[in-house]
Amino acid sequence: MTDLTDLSLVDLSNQLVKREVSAREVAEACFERIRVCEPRLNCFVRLDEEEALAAADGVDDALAKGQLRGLLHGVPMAHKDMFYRRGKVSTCGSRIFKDSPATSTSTLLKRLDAAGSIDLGTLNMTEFAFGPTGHNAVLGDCHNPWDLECIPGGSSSGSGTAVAARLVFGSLGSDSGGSVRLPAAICGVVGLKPTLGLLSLYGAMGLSYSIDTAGVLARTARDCARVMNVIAGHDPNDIRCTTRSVPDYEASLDRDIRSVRIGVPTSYFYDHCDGAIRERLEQSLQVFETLGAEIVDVRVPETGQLMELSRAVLYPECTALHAADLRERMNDYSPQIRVRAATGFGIPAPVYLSALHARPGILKRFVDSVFDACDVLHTPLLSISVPKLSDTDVGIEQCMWETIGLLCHSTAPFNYLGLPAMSVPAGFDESGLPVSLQLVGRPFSEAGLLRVAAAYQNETRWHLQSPKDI
Amino acid sequence: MSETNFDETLPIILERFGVRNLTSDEVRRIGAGAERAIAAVVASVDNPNLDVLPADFYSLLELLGDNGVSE
Repeated sequence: MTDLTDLSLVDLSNQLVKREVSAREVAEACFERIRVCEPRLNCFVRLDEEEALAAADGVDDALAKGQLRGLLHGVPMAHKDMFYRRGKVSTCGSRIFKDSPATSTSTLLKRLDAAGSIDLGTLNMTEFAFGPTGHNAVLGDCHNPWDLECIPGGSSSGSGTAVAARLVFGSLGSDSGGSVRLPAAICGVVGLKPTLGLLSLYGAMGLSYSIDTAGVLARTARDCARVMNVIAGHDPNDIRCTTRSVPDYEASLDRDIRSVRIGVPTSYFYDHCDGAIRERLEQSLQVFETLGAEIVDVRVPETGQLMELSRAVLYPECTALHAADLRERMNDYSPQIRVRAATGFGIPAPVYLSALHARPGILKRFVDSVFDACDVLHTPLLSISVPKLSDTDVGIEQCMWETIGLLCHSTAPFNYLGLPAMSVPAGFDESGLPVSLQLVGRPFSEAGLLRVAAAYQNETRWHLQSPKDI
Repeated sequence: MSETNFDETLPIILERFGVRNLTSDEVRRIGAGAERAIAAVVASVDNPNLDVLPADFYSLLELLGDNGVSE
């Protein structure tokens, strides 16, 4: 019999709905596994076991009376410790917030609660979601379940680790430069950063008003689609949030991908790409070809500057948010985060405004050029082997910016462009560490990206492999 | 990347904002990070098109929105 925690979110959900397993049994199985793994992974900030088991009993009782709570009835999840829940502390990975209970609950958590999800606790993250590795000097580093000496990726480090280690079935993260996609890729799970504005950020910690996006980590594209069906769409509490109607993300997943044009970029994304990773990416293209997709070369315009343009927006906005705390509580920041949070002081207003002002034109040129030639852009997610925690613990050494830039090379451009992008497991390297591909689409094409990813996962088994001996 | 461009001006800006007690290495890293972003903007952004405002970005995302592969 399959261990309950090995099931995908959707398979578990089906069993729960049929009452083949109870929500309490599943939640208890998760807590049991957490007790075993957590000492080595350090992916939880807080466990809410008593409340979670009570909530599980509640959904079990409801179902016994014929009441299905929603699409996530009884499904255990946990989220990056920056989605606020009224009365609870969200540390945001920092000392600064550690004593401040939230006064409201985030829209995304409310939607998950309403759909019957069971919230097990909160997950480790990079301090203020500001770093791609998963180091955290305040909470302790989170570890990669495939190799405890390796980074889990950040900033949604606990989300990647907890989903990959089969401690929870899905997790919310946030992505302002790759913070959903990197930990998903590095831990070997699926990560979706939707189009800017598709998910409400009400009640979530802000890093950069114009760049931030919430996102989903789960084991399969189908799992992500299920969660998106619950959380996507307009929220009057967040004026950045789209008013467009959202599709049923699960509905089209079983349709084939014949004639879908998969674009392979001819520049930038394969710069510095490790040989084994390039090989896995080429193999994934062969899979798409066997599924009837058309593989086309695509010239991507202006990509080389997009990561820094993103920073030209993100840093001033971040510094504005942190200015008072930098002034009054500087020593409560760890050194690298202090430096990064203060970097906006060095970016003049005309530079910030120019980067913002140029954004629509650059987006238009990118979409016209790339998505006339293909339906989905296919790139490496991380072009280098997963680094060790010790190798990337660079603090404020001179290589700090280069290290961060290398990790965010393929992800940050799409934060500036606001485009949807997702990370999909595509195999393992010689060290047994996950390799992932990235799929990128035109705005609001999440359903299409999920369909392409689901078709790939129907043909491959990478996403079914789980880390052993944690 | 040179880290010297900000050596004189950045401490003054930080002081103005009341951000004190950063080490010289920290100030240099701030300068280097800012310099990279500034260089990218200088290299890639021409005269702004005043017909397009930053706030139009969200409208443009809607306008360019998917009508293809997900249907």
